[in-house]
Amino acid sequence: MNQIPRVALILLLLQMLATLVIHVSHLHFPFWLLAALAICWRWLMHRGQLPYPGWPTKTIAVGLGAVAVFFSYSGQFSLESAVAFFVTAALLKLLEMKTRRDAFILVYLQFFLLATGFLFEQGPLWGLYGIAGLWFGTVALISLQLNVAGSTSVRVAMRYASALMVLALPVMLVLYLLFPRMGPLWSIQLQSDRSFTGLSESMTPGDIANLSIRDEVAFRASFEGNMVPDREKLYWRALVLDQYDGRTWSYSRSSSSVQWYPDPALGNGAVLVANRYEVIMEPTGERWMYALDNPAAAERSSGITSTGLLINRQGVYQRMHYRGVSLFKPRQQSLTDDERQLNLRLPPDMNPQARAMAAELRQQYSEAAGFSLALMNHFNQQPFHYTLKPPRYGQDEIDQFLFESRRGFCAHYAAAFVFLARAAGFPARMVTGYQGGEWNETDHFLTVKQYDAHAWAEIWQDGRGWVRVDPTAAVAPMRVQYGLEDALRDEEASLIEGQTGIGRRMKQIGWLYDLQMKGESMNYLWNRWVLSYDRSLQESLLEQVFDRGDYQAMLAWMGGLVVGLFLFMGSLLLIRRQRSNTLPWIREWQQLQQQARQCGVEVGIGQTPSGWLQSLALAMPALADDCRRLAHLIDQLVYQSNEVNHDDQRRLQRHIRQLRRRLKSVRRPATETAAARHIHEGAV
Amino acid sequence: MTASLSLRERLRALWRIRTRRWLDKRIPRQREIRLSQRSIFILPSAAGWVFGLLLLLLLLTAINYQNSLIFAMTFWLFAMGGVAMYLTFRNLAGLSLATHEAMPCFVGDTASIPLRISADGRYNRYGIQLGYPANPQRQTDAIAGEVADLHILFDCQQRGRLQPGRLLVESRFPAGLFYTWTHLDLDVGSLVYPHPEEVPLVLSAGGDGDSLPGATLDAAGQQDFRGLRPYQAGDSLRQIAWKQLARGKGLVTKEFDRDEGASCWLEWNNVSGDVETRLSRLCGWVLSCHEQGWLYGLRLPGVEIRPAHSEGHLQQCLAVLALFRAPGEEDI
Repeated sequence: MNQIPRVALILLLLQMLATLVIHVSHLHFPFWLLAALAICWRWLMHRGQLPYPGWPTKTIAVGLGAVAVFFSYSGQFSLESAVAFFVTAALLKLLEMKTRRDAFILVYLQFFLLATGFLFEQGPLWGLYGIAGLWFGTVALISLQLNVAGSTSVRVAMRYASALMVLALPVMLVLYLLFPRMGPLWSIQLQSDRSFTGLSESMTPGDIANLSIRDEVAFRASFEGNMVPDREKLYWRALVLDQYDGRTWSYSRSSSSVQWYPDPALGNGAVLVANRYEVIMEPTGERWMYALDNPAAAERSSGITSTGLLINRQGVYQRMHYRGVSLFKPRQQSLTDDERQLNLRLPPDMNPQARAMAAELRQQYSEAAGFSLALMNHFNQQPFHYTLKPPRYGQDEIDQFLFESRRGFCAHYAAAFVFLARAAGFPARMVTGYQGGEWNETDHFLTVKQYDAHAWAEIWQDGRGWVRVDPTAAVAPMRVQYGLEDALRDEEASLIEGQTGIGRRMKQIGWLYDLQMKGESMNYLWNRWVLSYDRSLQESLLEQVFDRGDYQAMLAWMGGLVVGLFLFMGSLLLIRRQRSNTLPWIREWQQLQQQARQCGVEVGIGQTPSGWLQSLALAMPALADDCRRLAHLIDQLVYQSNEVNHDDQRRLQRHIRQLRRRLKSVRRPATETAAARHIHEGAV
Repeated sequence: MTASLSLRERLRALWRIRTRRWLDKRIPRQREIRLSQRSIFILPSAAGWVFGLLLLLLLLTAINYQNSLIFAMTFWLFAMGGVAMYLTFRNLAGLSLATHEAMPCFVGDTASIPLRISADGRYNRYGIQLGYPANPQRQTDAIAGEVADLHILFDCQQRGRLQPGRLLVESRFPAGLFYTWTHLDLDVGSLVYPHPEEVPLVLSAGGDGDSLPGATLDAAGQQDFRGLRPYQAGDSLRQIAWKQLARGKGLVTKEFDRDEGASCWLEWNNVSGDVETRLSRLCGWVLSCHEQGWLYGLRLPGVEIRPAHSEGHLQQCLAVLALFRAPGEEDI
């Protein structure tokens, strides 16, 4: 009875394999070997060709598993190694699975593994795969309870699994939409050790060029009222790099203090907001978020640094949805001495030519605005080239770039600009982020990919604050207006992933382009409504649907729903119960039998009504006449005519009720016990 | 209840009595019962509680990693658990169980209690386990609209009216997360006779010479010698043809015609020992008298059945033996 049915075993083995598939991106090879071994071994055990492992075998297996986990993840404690540990545990459980209880534990482990797969894979197709996995696991779970023949068992289990999932769907949706999405209960140290592509905290000018050939999505954004700023204004700031050591730009942690949510800039109602937008950001493993100029903190976990960046309290390890707000006015009106110092600092004795040029320009322009305009003109009019493949620069790289090769990518121009500005005594800094993006007309969102990564400069102008200057725009205006691909020459543009010859030609074929856009839209909607459904989205949904957004009201709603559901089910049961005996005379008849049972007259199996009435008459001689009459009536009305019409039913009911009343009046305690009757019957 | 019983034991006994009384009221003894929410109980099974733990773990994972897909999977599993509860309940609800009189049996035998199961509604019921406590369980499925007959085994240890207690009908189908059950007090209504003791019946007077105390011979019948047949295990020693054995012709049994007309009284006072021993011996004698075709009567304190020989007479005698001073049968 506690054996695992054969069908269930097969399903469990298959399900084991299926749950591993979702971990395909990070599970190391030895574990696949281990899985194949365990599954085959367990099958041979079932066939009786191998014995169940004894404790020495089990101990060795556990030891080997632990060693495998330790060495393939080089002893690091990360999400991947934790999952590998669970996989090993499930495989070992599979090996020693003997009873139904073991099988339950295995199914639960498989469900858990399936769920943890979603920490790594979140595409819509993986979502479908998860549903299939859930269904298959349920089939396995149900087949554990079935002891019927194989094919029937699978069919029944499949039917019930489908019924379970379909019937559960509405409740699941309600819970999904209404269950309070609170923040993490504790901060988890266990994070994935995979590397994310994207910007980094320090940058040498060649880095962005490497990033710019990646076709991966960095984030998607939509704008309130579809008020999309012009493409030339879509500068998504991520990082401010204000330190330069002659080679690498990095950002100084010491300089920035953070204004966390709630943001006082949004506190008074009279703020002027230039833009409202929503961003779904791919994980970076870092704390920065992407924002347009002059951001304000509109999310609970976010804050604004003194350098005007939007950051998150924790690193962004999962796809994140947030609202962004752009203010009209920059919040920083003056520069402290420390900040001025920091943004003027240059490594000494480097790039003498550039310094000389800066000094010369400083003679002509005492204002930052004029200075930057002159520099832009310089870049525009001199033979500078915008290229993904600049030469390697050595010592005095700014000099080499400015006066020798004049070939560079956005970061080179920005670096040169900042260097010159600082050398001329104007506070300036490097900013990295993304510029532009692809607008989806059908679903109104912007997709920003890694090849939209960009670097530009900001210069301090007294009275205006930090002002953006993008020297790339002077060299390659196409980059800012249309995107990287159009700004590069063909042979370079083909370096960008997904923009190879075929990919580029695809864009020119109308319907293929449409198809690609449809795919993008699907991804976006999936991200928007499924993956990044969180507290803020939940609140806005509640505001839209129920006209209120606070949690108390939501809990009340949920409670109300549950109570309503129970009431509904209860009344359904009641109605069905009453409907089950619709004919009143049959109900009356059942009550009569119930009453007689209390007097010791049972209903035998297969006993006809008249037969039963005879035994009632025997037990209650006073009722003999009534019984006979009723028996006659029943025989006549129920058995001799095809259908009992309404009047006859009424008549029957009346007679039965009469008999019930008589029975009540003559009812006496059954002195003669059944035992005694038994003996008497024997004596007959 | 003595003072030596600890408070815990007393409370437990009290609890047992209370629950039995409550059950007797809620699900009274019946020949036939249709299971409904009145008679069906349901609780999460051990696997169900562990499933709850799994859900909690998944929820924590979903919250801490802010992962919508894990949220969705958690809620789906949770809702499926709820649906599974209903489906598990439904697996028993609407099931009709009926019994009729089981064949009487002797103490030490296994009674097989007939049970008729039918399922109403449009769906089949799977994985229904039936069995009396401490007796073998059997699993069955009930196909919608069909009637299935099966037998439940019960090891009879107690003489008297067959009281197997409450039949446990349970099911965990479909998901095994919930355990639904009912305790049915089916009115089996058959008797358990005393264990027949195989002591050769000896007539105390008359007969053919031997006189051991046993039954009182009322009238001797004619025993006509019919012939010889090979010995079979169990043949009485008295019937063995010793002379044939002595002549080296092997073990042969003398066969007689039935003792037509032999009549005897099987008496309580002729046997000694406690009640059960006496009844056992009398039961064995009743059976052997019946087999040998004698007329026999039964005399117990307060009960007298006149000598006769018929199937009905046998049943009557055995019934008296079964119910004599049996627990719960004070009125005899």
